[in-house]
Amino acid sequence: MKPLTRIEEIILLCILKLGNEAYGVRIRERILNDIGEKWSFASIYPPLENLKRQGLVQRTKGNPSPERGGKSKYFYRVTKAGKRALITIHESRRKIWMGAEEILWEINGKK
Amino acid sequence: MGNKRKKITKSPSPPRFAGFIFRLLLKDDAYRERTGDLEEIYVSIAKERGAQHAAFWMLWEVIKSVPTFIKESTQWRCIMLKNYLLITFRNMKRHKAYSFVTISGLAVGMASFILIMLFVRWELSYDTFHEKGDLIYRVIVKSESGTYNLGKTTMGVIPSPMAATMTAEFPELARITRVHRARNCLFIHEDKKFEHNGLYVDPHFLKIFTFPLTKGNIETALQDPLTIVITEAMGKKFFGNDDPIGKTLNFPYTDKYYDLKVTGILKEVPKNSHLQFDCLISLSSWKNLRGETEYVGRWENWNAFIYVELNPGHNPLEFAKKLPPHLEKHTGRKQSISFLLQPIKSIHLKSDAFIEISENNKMSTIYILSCIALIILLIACFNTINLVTARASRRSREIGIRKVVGARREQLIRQFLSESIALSLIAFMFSLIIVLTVLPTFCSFIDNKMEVQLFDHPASIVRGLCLVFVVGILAGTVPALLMSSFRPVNALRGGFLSIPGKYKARNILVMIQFSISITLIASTLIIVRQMNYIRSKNMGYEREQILVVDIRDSQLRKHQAVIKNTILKNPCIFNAAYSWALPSDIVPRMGATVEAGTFPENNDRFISYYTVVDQDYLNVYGIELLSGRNFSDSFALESQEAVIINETAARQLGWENPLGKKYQCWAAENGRIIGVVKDFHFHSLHQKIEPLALGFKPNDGRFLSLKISPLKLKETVGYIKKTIESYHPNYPFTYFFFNDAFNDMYISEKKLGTLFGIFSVLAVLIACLGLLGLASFSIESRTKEVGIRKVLGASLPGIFVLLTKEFVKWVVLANIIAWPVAFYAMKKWQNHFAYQTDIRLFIFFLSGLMAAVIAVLTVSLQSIKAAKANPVDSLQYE
Repeated sequence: MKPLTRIEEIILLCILKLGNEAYGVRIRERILNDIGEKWSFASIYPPLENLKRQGLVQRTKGNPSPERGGKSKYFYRVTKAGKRALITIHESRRKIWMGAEEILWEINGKK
Repeated sequence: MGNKRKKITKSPSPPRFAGFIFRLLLKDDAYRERTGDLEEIYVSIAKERGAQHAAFWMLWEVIKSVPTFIKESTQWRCIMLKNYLLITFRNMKRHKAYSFVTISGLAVGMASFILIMLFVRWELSYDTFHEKGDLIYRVIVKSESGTYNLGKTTMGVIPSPMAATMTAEFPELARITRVHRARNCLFIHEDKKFEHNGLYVDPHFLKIFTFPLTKGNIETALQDPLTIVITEAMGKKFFGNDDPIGKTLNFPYTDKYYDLKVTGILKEVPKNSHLQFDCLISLSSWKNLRGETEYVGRWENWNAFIYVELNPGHNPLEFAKKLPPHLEKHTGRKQSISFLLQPIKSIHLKSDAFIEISENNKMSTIYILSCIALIILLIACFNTINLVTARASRRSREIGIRKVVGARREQLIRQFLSESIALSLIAFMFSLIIVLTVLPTFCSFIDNKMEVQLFDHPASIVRGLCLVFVVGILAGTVPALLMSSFRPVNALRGGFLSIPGKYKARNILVMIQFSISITLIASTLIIVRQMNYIRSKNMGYEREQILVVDIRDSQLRKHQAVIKNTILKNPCIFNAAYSWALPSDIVPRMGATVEAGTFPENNDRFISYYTVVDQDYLNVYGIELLSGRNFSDSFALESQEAVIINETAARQLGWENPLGKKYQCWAAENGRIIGVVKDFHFHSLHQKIEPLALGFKPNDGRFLSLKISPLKLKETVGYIKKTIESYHPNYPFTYFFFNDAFNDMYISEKKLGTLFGIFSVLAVLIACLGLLGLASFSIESRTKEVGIRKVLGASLPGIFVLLTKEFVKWVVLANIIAWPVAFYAMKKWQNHFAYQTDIRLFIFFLSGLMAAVIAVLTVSLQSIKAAKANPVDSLQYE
């Protein structure tokens, strides 16, 4: 399987944290809250499609809501495969960072 | 206003443009999800910061998302496209013969289209290079009451003094120039002698037109008398690498020699200019050459081409209306004429005046050719449609599998469209090879001046790609729709699919192809017949074994009597005659005063074509004298007293016995009619025979016509050349055979005939390819039927007829469309000729039969194969 890109990783994590409330608008808000980046409207959808295609998330159609002009919300949920992928990423990140943190703090402390 | 805004803030309904744009880019679910999200955000922004702000945000986000979404949606399509193309090439490789037939048909069609379009574009490019092109007009005159010579209603030349008076009186005019032709002028520099075509022009010429000078001053170059501006090539010819500026060229004019000073060097004149020249001589030179009065010009002498540059913002139509009163004011005579201002760009294709500065083409030719080009392209597309659908059944399994695996119909359509565009691209490559190989031949055949490059401009690549796409989509849509409609169950079951409705459509395509082919064949036959008719028609004069010497030299004119006598000493030269015109082309018309009381309402004026000849002219050309006598040089006053007219003139004059009647015309001041000749066609057969009068002038004229023996031709020509050159003429010896000059009159018709011939062959060829495809499709689908018939005892010829009959039916039906079309079109074309052959029914039968025979031959290839096949093979799976 292709490794996830940074964007896909962020989105996947947001969906995980949002739980039952994960749909387009919320995901975008969450990204703004969590990492402080304001992404353009369109930017989240192609990665979402990719995640869906790889089976890491599942999309379900919700009920139509009035504030969306009568259109349904499309909710995303992280699948088991998705969770496994996140765990793998986290594991490898941890290994990569091991030992680096101390050096970085040291430099920070000196400056 | 305030109310309105309130309303919006109350229930903010988002703008609808986002929905439209997303609809174009996205599929159902994605569309609903994303527009929903967008609208939700919109509503929340609108609540916080107002509807206007939200709308701006939305617009900006939508614009930003377009590229992202396009990229997203095409990414997978590109991957699929790669797969489609792979399959396409595999299929092509597997069925080599089939691919060859399909591609070659399309390539030939595209090559014809490209060639014709190159020519059309070349013709349309005439005179487009002038910077002030939209302001430059030529002033020509239109007769409101009658026609000028040769049945034309307009004339290209107007009185020369008008240039000066127009400049003085009309502020609308920025500049004006007169143009006179100086054809085949001889220039001498030291030992170099060359003939060149030039123009006499006013100084403004160089400023009106964009013929840039590489050396010399544009303001003064053509100001003074006896100055000349030459092209680089001409300069090179005379002066080599020396700077020609300030040097002189010796210029013989009538009996004298003049020195012309070179004051400027021109870039080469573009070939797509209707003004063609090697040099420009200042018109003020006429003060020296022909005298002051000729330079100013006379009002009664209509001989100048006048080009004007209008100041911007003036209407040429309005301006033209002021000219007839202007002419009347200066001549004191009211004439029923009007003036036209021709935009310079339209002269080459739209002007058809009597006396043109150069030979023009007709807009109708351009239309005809464009139509042919489109028709051929269409035939080629039909052909591809037939061939591709014919093979559809072979691919039914592939289509079935794709559908079962989950391909949607539009994906299949996309697949077949991309396949046909790929096909069209390959065909385009081949057509470029064809075009590049035949382009030189084509250029020299259709118009030797034409110089085109295939890729002279980046836009031509774009045009080429457009062609590829248009052809690909034209040829691909029908098969794509048809093949994507297969139901997977049927498609996978194998065997052949029966699709009766669409099957008929394919037959109709074949019918259209064949109607076009039959129309073209019939047209070719009719053109050939008309040209044969013209070639064999008795013109009233002889054309064979007549050699004409062109005498342009004033040096020779003095010795014409002696030259004639010397030449006649050669036993191979039977007769010789001087004349100013050849019997195939007598142009000027002249008014004559005839016997009192003939036309009382008209002061007894009679207008006829007129030329002067000598006593041997009628004999050399074998023109028959009906009554009276020929001219004779034994009468001293013959040239003032004798006139010979033709039958038509005699008929129109209405005298019972025309001999001895008064006919005073030009040199024949006391003219009496001494003879009547049988009518001969002194114009091309486009025109009817009109009244003609011949005057007498011995030993004078531009042409020396010699009746010669066909034997020892080389020696005879050598003898004539030696005789002529013994008088040291300035001009080189030029001669031609009268028959060639005669044939040149019909050169454009001959070209049209050949062109039609070539394209009808191509059309038939392509149509046959289509038929071949259709036949193989239909026969293959009937293999089992044929097998059963054979088992039950059907004979081989019986099966052959059964299989062939069906196609011949469509070809026969094609005749019904083709005949009226060909008849109507050719009748219109024949109207250009005053003398026409009748269009016989047998021509149509013949062309129909030809098409049918070719069709049967094509189909029989397939049907014989099917009829001969062993029934065991075709039935074994059942």
